[in-house]
Amino acid sequence: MVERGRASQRSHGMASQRSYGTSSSSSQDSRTRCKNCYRKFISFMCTQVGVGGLVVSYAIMGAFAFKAIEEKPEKWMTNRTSLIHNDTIKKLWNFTEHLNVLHKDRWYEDVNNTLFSFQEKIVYVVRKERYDGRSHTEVWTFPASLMFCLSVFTMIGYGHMTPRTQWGKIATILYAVLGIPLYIVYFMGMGRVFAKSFKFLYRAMYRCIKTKNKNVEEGEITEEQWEEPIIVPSTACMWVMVFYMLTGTIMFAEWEGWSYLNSCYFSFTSLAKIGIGDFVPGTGGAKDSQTKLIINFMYLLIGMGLIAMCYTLMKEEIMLKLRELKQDFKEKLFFCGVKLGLYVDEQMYPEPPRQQHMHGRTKSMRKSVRRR
Amino acid sequence: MQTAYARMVYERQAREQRRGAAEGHRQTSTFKTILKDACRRLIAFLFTQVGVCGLVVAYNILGAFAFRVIEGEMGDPRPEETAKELREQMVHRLWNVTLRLNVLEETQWREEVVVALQEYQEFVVPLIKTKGYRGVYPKETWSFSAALMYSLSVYTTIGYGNLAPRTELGKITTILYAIVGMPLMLLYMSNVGEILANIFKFIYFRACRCDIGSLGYYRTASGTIRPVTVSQNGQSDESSPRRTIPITWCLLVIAIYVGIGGLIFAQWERWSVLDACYFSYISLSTIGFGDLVPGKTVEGENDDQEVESQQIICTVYLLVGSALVAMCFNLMQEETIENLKAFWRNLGCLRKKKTRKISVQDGHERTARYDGDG
Repeated sequence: MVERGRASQRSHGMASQRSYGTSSSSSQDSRTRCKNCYRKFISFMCTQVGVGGLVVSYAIMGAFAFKAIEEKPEKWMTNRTSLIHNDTIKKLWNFTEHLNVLHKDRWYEDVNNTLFSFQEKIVYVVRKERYDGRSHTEVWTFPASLMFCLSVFTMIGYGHMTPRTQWGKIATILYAVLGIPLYIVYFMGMGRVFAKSFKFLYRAMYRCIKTKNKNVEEGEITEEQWEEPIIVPSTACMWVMVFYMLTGTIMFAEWEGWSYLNSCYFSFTSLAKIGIGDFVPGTGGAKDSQTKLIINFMYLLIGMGLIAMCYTLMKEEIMLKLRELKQDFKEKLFFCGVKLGLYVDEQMYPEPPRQQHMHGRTKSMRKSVRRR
Repeated sequence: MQTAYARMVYERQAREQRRGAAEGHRQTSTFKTILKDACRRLIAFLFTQVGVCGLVVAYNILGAFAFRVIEGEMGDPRPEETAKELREQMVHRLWNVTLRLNVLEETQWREEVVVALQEYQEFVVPLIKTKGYRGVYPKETWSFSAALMYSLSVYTTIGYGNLAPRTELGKITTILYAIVGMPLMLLYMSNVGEILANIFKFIYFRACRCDIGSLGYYRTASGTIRPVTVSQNGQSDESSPRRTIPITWCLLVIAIYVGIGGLIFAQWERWSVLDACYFSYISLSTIGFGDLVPGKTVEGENDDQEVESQQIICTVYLLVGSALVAMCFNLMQEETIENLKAFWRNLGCLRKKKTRKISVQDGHERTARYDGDG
């Protein structure tokens, strides 16, 4: 409080200086202009558009960074599989050489076992060491890296592409630590913006329907409208989400050639941020897979906003219901306490009206009711 | 407060009496009321902390059983069958190659076998990546602990993906399981997070052995704890208000937990420490890539029993970790809101200075008082 008084005195002093038109005022002018610009910039960044732009630029920056980190040609990968190949061929040759009179059954058995172990090694290399048939540059294209960054900071985490180098893993952790709070800020803001526009749309539609149904004078309608606050019911939110998921289902089923169930399963697991990763659009290696990745990116961002909107709108209703349940439980506890004799002071609560025949009691009851 | 509860009790008794009078028959009404009472009591209990924890664990186990049956026993063995056919075809082919070359010329034989193996590999790799082929049949893959981890990854939205449902029934079950499980998880996190946050605050303020005031906080009339912006009381002479300590403490708690998980998993799964910490962090932040997941290695280094117990302990670790993350969010929320308010106040202070230049001498005290409160 004291500081503010001094500050305002200082500004008053500055104003009086400015009115005299001294040379120091021009430098102060530019300083205030700088501060103005800075302030405008910060306040813009804190709006929704600013945060959205920040998120997109963070994703793009991350895509470039991961592309650079993970694109190194890893010769050890091809060496690894050729090692496995050589090993298997050596074993096969041993079997073929040793059996001079080629016992077919024995040979079949041995070769089958060798192939099975070869297969197991391939499975290990693909699953644990993330071997891919393609080279690194083919895997870590720009749209694919963008999807990877999106899957990191939206916490979906598909896992169809993961960092293999040490630096890649450390970079992922740092990227997530900075990106997740940013994304949460975006998410909450988007929820609020969408919730406001949805409420506005809902109210407009509600009023349209009401004016159509009721053919009464305008005066009565506006009074009624202003009286009842229109709360968006949770079912409307659920319908919006179901509709959005259906859109996604049809879109991905048409483009990727998945069945409708698989498409629905993918939309749901992506929007719910589970992100299992067995289905990812744009990884089929088709021609326009890059544009598909970007469309998936937009679909997910908007979908997240819609989920935030539903969360914001439904939170109030759910909180109310939870509070009612909590009150119920507390009431029960109090009642149990009463039964156990914890609350000895009998005048704190009146007797139920059933036992009203005693005159003295009714008087005290009436008194306590009036007191409240 | 007691009178308010008393009023509730009175009203409820009146309501029940009215209900009993309306229904008439005393026996059925008491039975119905008992049933309704029991239901209400059960739901109210379930929403307390103990109830929610139990509910989450029960839901997890239920999911484990369900997925074990749906994906394990009624599972889809087509990729394994395909791989077996491929292998048999490959053996035939190699036999034909061996037969054809009458005098066994090694180099030519090797060339053809290399080509054959390369083709075989190119068939198997997409089978592994897209169809989820793992070399073992679904019955063995979907053990109880593996299904437990899968259920956990669905309703905590981690979503590893190392195990994915192949059957249609499995996919539909996953969707329904997630729809019911995610609100439950949110409830669990908010309830348990609140308790843990209160415990942490209690320990913290006790451990400092200091009053809230000397830390740079004061209690407003409504009971909320606010940081001191300007030295209001004479007490806070070390008046640089150490507001940022709680945030760093929260992050430290999470970092320690990730570190503990890293050490444990590095020991068990024979990963490097970086890999294990990476796994812990990616799981706790619910990203959940699934490239590193505790489980059976293909070469069968770990014992079956060992792997099962390790996976169960991993599930418990992740559940406790989610609660800790919720606690940190709870604690950091107040701090960040206060910091943001201070930040806005600073911005606003630049703005207010300009606009109140003119009328400053009359009411500067008034404006000052207004700002100090907000």
